[in-house]
Amino acid sequence: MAPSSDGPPASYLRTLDCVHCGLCLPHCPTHQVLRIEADSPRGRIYLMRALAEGRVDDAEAIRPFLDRCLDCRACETACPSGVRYGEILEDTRATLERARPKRGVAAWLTRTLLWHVVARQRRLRFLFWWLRVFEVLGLQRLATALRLLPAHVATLAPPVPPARERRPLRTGLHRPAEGTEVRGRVALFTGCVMEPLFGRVNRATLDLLLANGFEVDVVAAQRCCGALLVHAGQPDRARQLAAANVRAFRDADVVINNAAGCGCALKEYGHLLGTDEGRRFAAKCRDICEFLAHEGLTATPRPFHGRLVYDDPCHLCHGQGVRSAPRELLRQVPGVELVEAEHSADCCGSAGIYNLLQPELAAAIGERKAAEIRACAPAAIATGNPGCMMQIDSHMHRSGHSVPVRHPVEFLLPPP
Amino acid sequence: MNATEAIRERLCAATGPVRIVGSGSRARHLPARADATALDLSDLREIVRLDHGDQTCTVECGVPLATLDAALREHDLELPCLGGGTAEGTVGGLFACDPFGPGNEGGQSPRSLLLGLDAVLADGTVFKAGARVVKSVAGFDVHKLFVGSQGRLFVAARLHLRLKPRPRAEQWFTNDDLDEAAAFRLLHALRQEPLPLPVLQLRRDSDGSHAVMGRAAGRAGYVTGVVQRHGLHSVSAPTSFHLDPPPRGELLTGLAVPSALPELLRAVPAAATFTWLGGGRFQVALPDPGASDRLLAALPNVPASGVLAVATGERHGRGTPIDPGQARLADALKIALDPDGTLV
Amino acid sequence: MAIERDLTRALGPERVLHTRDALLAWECDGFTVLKSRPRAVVLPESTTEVQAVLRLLHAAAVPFVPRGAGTCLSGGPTAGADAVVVDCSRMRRVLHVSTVDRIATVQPGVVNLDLTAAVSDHDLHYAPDPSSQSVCTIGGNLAENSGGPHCFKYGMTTDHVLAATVVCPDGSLAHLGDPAGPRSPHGLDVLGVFCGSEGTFGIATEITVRLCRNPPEVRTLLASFASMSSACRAVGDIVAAGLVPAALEILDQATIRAVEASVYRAGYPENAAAVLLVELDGPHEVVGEEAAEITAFFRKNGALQSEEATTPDERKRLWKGRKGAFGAMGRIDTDLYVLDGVVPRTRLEEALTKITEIGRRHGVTLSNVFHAGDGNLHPNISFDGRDPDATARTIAAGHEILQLCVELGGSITGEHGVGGEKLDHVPLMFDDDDLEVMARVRRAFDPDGRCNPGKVLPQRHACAEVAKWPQMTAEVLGEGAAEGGQ
Repeated sequence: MAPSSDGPPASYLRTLDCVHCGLCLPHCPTHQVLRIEADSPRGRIYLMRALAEGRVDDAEAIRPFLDRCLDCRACETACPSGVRYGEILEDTRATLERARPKRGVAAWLTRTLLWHVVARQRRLRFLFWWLRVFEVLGLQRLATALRLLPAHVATLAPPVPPARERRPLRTGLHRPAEGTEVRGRVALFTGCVMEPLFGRVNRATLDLLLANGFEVDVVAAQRCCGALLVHAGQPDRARQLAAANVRAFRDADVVINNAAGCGCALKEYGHLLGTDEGRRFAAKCRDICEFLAHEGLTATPRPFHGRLVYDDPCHLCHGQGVRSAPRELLRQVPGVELVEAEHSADCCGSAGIYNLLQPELAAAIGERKAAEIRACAPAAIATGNPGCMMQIDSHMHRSGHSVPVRHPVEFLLPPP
Repeated sequence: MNATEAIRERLCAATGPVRIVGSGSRARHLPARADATALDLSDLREIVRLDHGDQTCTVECGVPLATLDAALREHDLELPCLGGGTAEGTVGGLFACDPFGPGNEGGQSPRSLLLGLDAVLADGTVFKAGARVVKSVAGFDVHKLFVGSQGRLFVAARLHLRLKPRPRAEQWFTNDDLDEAAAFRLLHALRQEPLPLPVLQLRRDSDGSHAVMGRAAGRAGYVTGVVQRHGLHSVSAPTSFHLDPPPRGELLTGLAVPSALPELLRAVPAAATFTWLGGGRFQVALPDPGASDRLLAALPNVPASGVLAVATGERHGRGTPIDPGQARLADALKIALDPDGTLV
Repeated sequence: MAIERDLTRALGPERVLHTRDALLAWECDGFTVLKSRPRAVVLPESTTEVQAVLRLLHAAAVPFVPRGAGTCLSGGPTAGADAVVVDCSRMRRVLHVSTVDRIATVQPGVVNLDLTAAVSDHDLHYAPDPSSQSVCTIGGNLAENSGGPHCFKYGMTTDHVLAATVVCPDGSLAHLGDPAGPRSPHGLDVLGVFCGSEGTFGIATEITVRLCRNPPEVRTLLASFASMSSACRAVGDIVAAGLVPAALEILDQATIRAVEASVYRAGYPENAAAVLLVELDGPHEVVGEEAAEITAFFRKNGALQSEEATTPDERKRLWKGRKGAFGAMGRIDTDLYVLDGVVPRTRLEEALTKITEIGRRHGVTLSNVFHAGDGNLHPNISFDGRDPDATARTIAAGHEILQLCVELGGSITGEHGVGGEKLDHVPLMFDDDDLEVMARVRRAFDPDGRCNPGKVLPQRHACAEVAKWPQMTAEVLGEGAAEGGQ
């Protein structure tokens, strides 16, 4: 990947924005745990720059450091030079994957799962049906006991909810109840993981929008956002999904999503597709909290009496710059005591499928997060991304301090 | 002729071991070796430069502290390690002996105030280290080695010093005739003041009575406030902070952290006079060598370190065990800078 | 590769890195012009491990370079191709805190700001605060004798370090200083000369520092001025009045603009030629009186506007721009040459005028952000390191600026150190005899010259190091271009 004759690639030029000041280091979860320069944003940018300059002999030697990155973007928030780390990383991962696809069963499985299952909702639903059966029969524990399944997979895999909760939302237009003043119409992006694992969150999102006077169009032709594929260095496949979504939401003015990871990816379609169409689509995407904080709640949420910790999903606070909106909304819940945990903007270690690929590191980061949350002694935890909900729940559970982990929208619903 | 050339000439003229003499105050507690030639620097007493705007100055090593203090007063400045009081001796002697003058969390130690120097090695090599400005990290801080070196590494000709604004108001105080508990209470309360007192000492006399002494300094309103809040008894500025050993007695100087003070006081014999000088430094005037030896043996358990600063003959310089690593480096530095062992 | 094998045996494979490509990440510190890939990197976690590593290196006669967070701005921790980097980042435990004695003993990899966080519950803090304090380590601070904005009142690192356990280059141990005071009663202030030796005397593995009490009140004042001269005169007035604010900082227009375009935007007025940031701390009544005096000096020197922040959030906002200033320079050009000259505080105005003139003559992009209270200037030259001509002009301008500082009675470096960067500038301050004395002191610590060789003291008769920079940059990149088959 030497600079080509028609000028170096944009992401290479972005590496030059880094003046090596190191202010990103304390914000990087992997550097905090490992304290290895090559596992810091500064170090990774330096390696990626060297790779682009053709100074790396064997790209495989630096790949582990890039693989260990959570892509949480905390470094972007901290960077005084405005280095766009996420774009550099995604471009570099794509280049590496193109040049030499990763080998091994895990890599094959990841690729297969991502493209053939996760990205296709029907197959994903089918998979979850099997997982549920597996779980109900107690086979998971058996498999772990027989060491057929690595322990971290078993502990991290969340309990699959019963079929009733996995039922997808009805597609088409939903209207607020009679007597509710209609304030506008939005389209809802349902997401591929949220749907089967946290169907209740999607339903809460829909109900919340309806209760606050918005007509909601659950667009039928929508696909997976492609974020996991981009992170795995497969932007070409992600582009196919992106193009499909741009088409599906052609008629929408506002596209609401409730998963920070998806939201961040949707907002980056401009960069991914490199088209005006992509940029126009990106501009109309909103996180549910971002949208409602801007529009204002008209329906008073159900009271919640107790301490509530809000944890920032990386792809919401660093990726989309949405920090105050969820807090503003949660403070409107009657009776709530919203408390801030230390380092709430630090990654929890979930990061898409990171906890499956880098189990030890993800666990170390997750433990830190759980400890910081525990210090607040909350009655419940709110965070707006499915991966984070699972990771935090799992680590709180493991430390013996299980408290409900919910999406902010679940606290914002008015009484039935 | 400037100071470095003068010293160089005198060093070259001398044969055998050489001992630096400033005001001569060291001779009282540490007589010179019989074979040593005295190198008297008391005539090098020019204040070369006093940049009051920059709050720095350059002085020759033999400038009497009183002369410097008077010159600084004209510009409302002071050398903080003097604690605002006047002391006998020369500037060079102050830094070379670092006689554990008043200093605490608020005071500035000589290490902080010596910005640089022009000096001469025993072999006549003239060199400089540090800088004249308040901040410089160029090269190694060889000048810091002068502090406490007793003039045994090299001879400082000119010293560049950092000065501080003289406080707009000050009040010396001594609250005496306190029992131990009351003295500790007052000391503790004064240590909690948001502006550290530039001088804060605790003294126990051989009659068992305690006193807390010090200097409150700063803006007038604040100083009055401190004096009133703590019920301090105003006194005039003391002339000396140091203890004098009784006849045939010895003086021990040492270091201990404040939390070790109660334990330290238990280790000090009742017949001795004890002063905690702040900043971890203490002095004990001991009645006889036996008492000194018992205290030296007890110090490591306090824990504290100490050395006999005033004692005769072989006993001078005896102290608690020194870390072998530090001793090795100190020896290596002596060999590096004065390989012939000229400066004694 | 025998030494790599022995090190791996001592520390385990995860804490010894010697894959050539991975080592690229340790190629430079904050001074990116100087690049060199080390032979290996080791990550010890205790004094015993550092001793084990240094003993192995001693036996094999392999040079080594201590490293902290790599935020040094003078190439101090950049290691030659034959040297092993001893990276202390993992030695990050606070070993002991005494709130009564107000001291803490820490491992060298403890981050400066993390130490303050660890003691803040006791209303204490660690005073020296380099702009990189959220990243840089106490070990690195000790090696460099780091400063920071608050050093005007509280002093440099050397004024806060009481004792240290040091592993000497041969692997032996020395305990320097005393937790109770700046130097042991037994004589030489060995720790005093160790501090600021830029990692050339050994590796401090346990460091005892003084902690300061948090002041009851802190107030930050900001004034903007239509000219740099009036800002400097305001500083002169404040210092002359005997006031000792906790910090006195100036940012010039170019810096203000870069900061305001970055995430560290602080709301500094962009049309001002200079902003002066003053921080006061102490008892409430004292701070109030001092603030009034200082505001009067602002007015006297024709301040365009001034504001005062008392709440932590507001103060943080005003400081944010100052602390992020260096990083924000990345917005001006790809590379940044940060100078660190010092002048007497009475010559600030004159120095800045002449520096602007030098910059103009060499056609370089200059910005200034500096510790005005200490006379410690940071003229920053933004340039594109891939352009040999721009690099050459940058170096020429830098050299002239440092020469100017020395001529005015100052220093070539106030807090960043000589490292590998300022070797050519050292002779501006020190002659051969001065350097020979320093070399002797160094040999007392490191007789074989294996501890961070080639730093601080210029090799006698070596040809100009700085002149090699454009060539070095070209070489490093050229090597890549050749291998990359452009």
